[in-house]
Amino acid sequence: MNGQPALRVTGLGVAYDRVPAVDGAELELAAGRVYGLVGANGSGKSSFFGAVMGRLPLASGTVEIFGLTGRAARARSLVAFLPQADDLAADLPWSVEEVVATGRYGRLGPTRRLRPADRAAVAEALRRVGLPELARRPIGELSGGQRKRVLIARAIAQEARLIILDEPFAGVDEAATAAISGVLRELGDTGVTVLLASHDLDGLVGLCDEVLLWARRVVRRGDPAEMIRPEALLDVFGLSVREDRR
Amino acid sequence: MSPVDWLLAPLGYDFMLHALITTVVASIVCALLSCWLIMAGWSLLGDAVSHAVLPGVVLAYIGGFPYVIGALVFGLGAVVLIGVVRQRTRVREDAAIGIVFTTLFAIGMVLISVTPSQTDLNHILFGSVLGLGLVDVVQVGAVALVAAGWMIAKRRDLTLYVFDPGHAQTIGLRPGRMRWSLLIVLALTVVVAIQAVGVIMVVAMLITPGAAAFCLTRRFGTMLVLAPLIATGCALVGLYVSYYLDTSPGGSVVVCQGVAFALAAVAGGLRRRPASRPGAAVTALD
Repeated sequence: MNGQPALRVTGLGVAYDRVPAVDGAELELAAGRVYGLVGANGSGKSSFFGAVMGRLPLASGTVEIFGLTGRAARARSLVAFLPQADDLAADLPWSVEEVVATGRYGRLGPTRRLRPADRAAVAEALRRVGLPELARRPIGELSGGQRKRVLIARAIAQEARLIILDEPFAGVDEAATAAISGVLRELGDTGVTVLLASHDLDGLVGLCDEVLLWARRVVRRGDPAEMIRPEALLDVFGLSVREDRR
Repeated sequence: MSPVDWLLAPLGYDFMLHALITTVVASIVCALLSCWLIMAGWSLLGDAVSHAVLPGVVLAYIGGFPYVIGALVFGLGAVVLIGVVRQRTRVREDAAIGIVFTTLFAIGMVLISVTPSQTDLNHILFGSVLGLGLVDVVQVGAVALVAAGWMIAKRRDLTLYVFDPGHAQTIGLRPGRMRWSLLIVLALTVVVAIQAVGVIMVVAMLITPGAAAFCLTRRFGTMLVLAPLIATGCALVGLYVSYYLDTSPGGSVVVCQGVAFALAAVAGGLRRRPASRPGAAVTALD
C-alpha cells in the first residue's frame, strides 16, 4: 500500500436511466483516517458506495483502492462494506461467530477451512466490538445495533484496510451508537481508513477526522466542527439537511 | 420370519440391491443440495429444472448419447430461458418459471409420443429404480460423486453466496460463477434423482430433506448432516415399504419424506420462532 491513498476516485459517474445519481465525483482519502460523508437523502451517497464496491456499473470515471482496481482490492480483502440494511435474514441458521468468520474467507484456501489463527482472529474481533459472549448466538436473535457491531467485527476479522459504512447509526439506540463510534474511532487510530455516511451530524464531530459534504459529488470538505455548522450546511444543501438534523 | 430375515430378504435380489444403492445415493445428493436451495429460495427453480430436463433425456434416448448431457443442456437452457423471459417481458419470475418449465416438459411429452417404441413414458416420469443394471448404478454413482464432492468442498463459499451475496462479492468471490456452478450441480443432481423417483417427484427430494432439517436446527452445519440422514432413512424405509406392500418405490420414498417433514415441523414448531425479517435472497436468473 506504500503511501497510496486508501481511496482515489476520479470523474466518477453513476446513472439510472441516464439520470445521474453520482456526477463527476473526485475524491482522495488518506490512509488511517476517519471520514464522515454528509448529504441529503437521495443525493447519491449509497450509489457512490455501490460504485466504489463494484456493485453498480460506472457511467464514467475510475476507482482505485490503495492503488489497485476495485476488483483487485476486493480479492485481497482490503476493503469491507457495511450496507445500511444487511442481507442477513432473521431465520438464518448461522451463529455470530460463523458470520464473523466469513470475513476471513478471502485469506483462506479454496475450501475456506479456518485455521487456529483464524479462529483467534474471529474471537479477537468479537472482543473488540464488545460481543464475545454472543459468539454462539444465532445472528437472527440480535438487535439492530448488535448486528451492526457483528458486521464491524467481520470487517475487523477480514483485516480490511478501508471500511465503508452506509448509515451505521440508523435505527440504533444511543448506547449502541456510542459503542459503534468507539470501535470506529479505535480502528482509525490503528491505521484503518473509515468512510461512513451518517445523518447523525453531532456524532460525527468527535468521531471523524474530516467531514465531506456530498451532493452527487464532494462539494466541500474540512474540519468536522466547521463542516456541520448550520451556515455551512445551509450554504451547501439549502434546507434539506437542516431538516434531517432535527 | 425374523426381523433380520425381513431386512435381508430384499437384498437377495440384485434389482433391489441396485435400487437401494441408487436411491440412497440420489437421496444423499439431493438432500445436500436441498439445504442451499431452500435457503436461497430456489425451490421452485428446482421444480422447473427437474421438469425441463425431460426433452433432453428423451432426445438422449432417441439419439443414443448419454442422458446426462441431454439433461444438463435442457436443465441449464431452462434457467437461461427463464432469465430471458423475466428480463425481456413484463412477467414476474414465478410466471416465467411456470411458462418455461411446462413448455419444455410438454415438448418432452410430445417427443415421447412420437417415439413410442423406444421410450417408456412411465419410466422417465416416475422413475425405474427397480429396473436398473449395474452400469446404471455406476453411472449414477459417478455423477453423484462429482456433485456431492463439489458441494462438500465448496460448502462454505456456497453458504456465503446464498446467505450474504453482498459480502461474497465484497471479498472477491464471483457471484455469477457461484450461481452457475450451483445451477450445474442442480442439473447434475436432477439427473441422478430421475433414476430413483422420476422427473415428476425429483422436486420433493430437492426440497423436503432440507426443509425438514431446517425445522430441527438453527445451525447450517447441522442441517448439512441432518438432511442426508433424514433422506437416507426415508430412502430405506420407502424401498422396504415398496417391496413388502408392492407400492411404487419412488412414491413410497417421497411419502416417507413427507411424513418425516411433518414430524420435523411438529418438533421444530415447538421451538421459539424469531421475528420475521427477510434477507436479500440471491436470484438465480440475473
